[in-house]
Amino acid sequence: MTALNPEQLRWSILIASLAMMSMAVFVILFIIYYQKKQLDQEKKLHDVEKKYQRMLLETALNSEEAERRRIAQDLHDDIGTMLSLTKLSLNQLYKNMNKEDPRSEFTLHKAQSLVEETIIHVRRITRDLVPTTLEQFGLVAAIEEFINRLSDNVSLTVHFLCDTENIPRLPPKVELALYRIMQELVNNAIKHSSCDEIEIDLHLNKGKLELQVTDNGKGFDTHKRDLKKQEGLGLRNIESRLSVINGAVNFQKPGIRGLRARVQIPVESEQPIKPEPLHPFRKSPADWSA
Amino acid sequence: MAFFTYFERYPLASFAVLLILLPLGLAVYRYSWLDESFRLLFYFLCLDLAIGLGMIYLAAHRTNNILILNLFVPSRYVLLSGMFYYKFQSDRCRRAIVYVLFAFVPFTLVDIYTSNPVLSDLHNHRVGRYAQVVESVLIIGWVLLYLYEITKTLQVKNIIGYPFFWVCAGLLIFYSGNIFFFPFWYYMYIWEDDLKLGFVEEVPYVVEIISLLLFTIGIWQTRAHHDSPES
Repeated sequence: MTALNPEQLRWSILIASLAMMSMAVFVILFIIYYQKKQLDQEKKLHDVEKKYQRMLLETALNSEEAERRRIAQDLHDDIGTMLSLTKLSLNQLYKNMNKEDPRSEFTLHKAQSLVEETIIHVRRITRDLVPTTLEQFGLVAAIEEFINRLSDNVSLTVHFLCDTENIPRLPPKVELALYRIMQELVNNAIKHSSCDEIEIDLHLNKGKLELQVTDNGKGFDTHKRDLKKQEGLGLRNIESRLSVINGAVNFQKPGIRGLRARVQIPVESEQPIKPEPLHPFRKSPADWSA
Repeated sequence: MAFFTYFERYPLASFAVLLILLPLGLAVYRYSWLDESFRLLFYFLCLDLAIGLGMIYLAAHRTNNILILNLFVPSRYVLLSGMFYYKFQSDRCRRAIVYVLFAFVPFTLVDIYTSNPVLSDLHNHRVGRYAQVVESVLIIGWVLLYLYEITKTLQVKNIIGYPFFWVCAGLLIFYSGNIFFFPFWYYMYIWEDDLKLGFVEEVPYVVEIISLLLFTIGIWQTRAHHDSPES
């Protein structure tokens, strides 16, 4: 075996050390590259998951709207028609009956008024299920109509503040979401806060459409998230709807009493002039012909 | 005076020792942001500086200083592997670090004894033959294992801004650069008739300087990482 002389040894050690250091540098660079790639992949996966969740949520909300529309249609076309026919029959019966029997007349009157009342209820339910005013005249008109319906309640005063001229028509999906959120917030205030005054404020604020629903009821501690859970499905529903339209909600205490729900959604500069149909699966006439 | 003569004769070796002041000073400045691992690094740097200055002092006064180096090896390993003990998330790895630690320290002492049968003869004291090579393998192993863990768990979002990554990089460079030198130290550092390798003998100092600079980057990052762990 030939022994290495110091010169050979020197170069051997140097080359071996440089090779080892190069490997170390390679490992460091590889870790940086690999970590970055992994994180990018994870981010992409997260984005896909988020998009998928949003799509699921949107589909669920669309299905809910479609179901509401179907029920409203059934109520209007079937129950409504049958009730109208019943009313007509009762009127006919009233004309033909023997008027000398007061008990029969009273019973018939009672039946007529019950049918009329039921017709009114069915109409109201149908309107609640499908806000046709929203489709035709927009959010402001729909809120005004909703407030009018609430005015039957003597113990409750509802104010509506709106910058009508500046509120643009939004995509139907957004208008419907905002309308449902407003309905939910007002219903929550009536049911849970024991309030006698509600103020609905709709205005544009720094390129965002802001909807504020303020009541003078007992309110809740906005810092305690648990209380929010108690409110349950309603608030979660609001958050779900907002997540689909990139909106946000927060709750504030306007004073000693009450609660203010502040909903903000971004307003896109270009708004479609012609509203899309509310029915998510209903095809337009153009689609039918195609 | 002897110090200055030494600095003049061995500028790179002296610079490698004096450069410890850079990460050490920064560690003092950043002390409140240092976690357990970085505090161990801080103690290591203190010890390294003390050992480095002590060795220069003895070398300048023509005294064999290898015993200090031999005793530095186990203490260095304890501090450096201790850093990984605090950083590893896996309990298995942490247990392994403790077991290896208890095996390595007696091994080093045995290695010193077998490399120097006459321990009382400090004048002809020599570097342990295997201890530093085994230490290099172990530390490189812990570094690679730790890097594997952080890439697998993805707990670190921005690895460039992660302080301990730079410490790992410094350790990897230091031990990779020295692993082929350490076996020769037994033959090179003999009081009489030592093996001369010329400019190659300077390579460990260059490697040490690089690793100290990487430690400095790591210590510098501690505050930013503490303020914003995601960064």
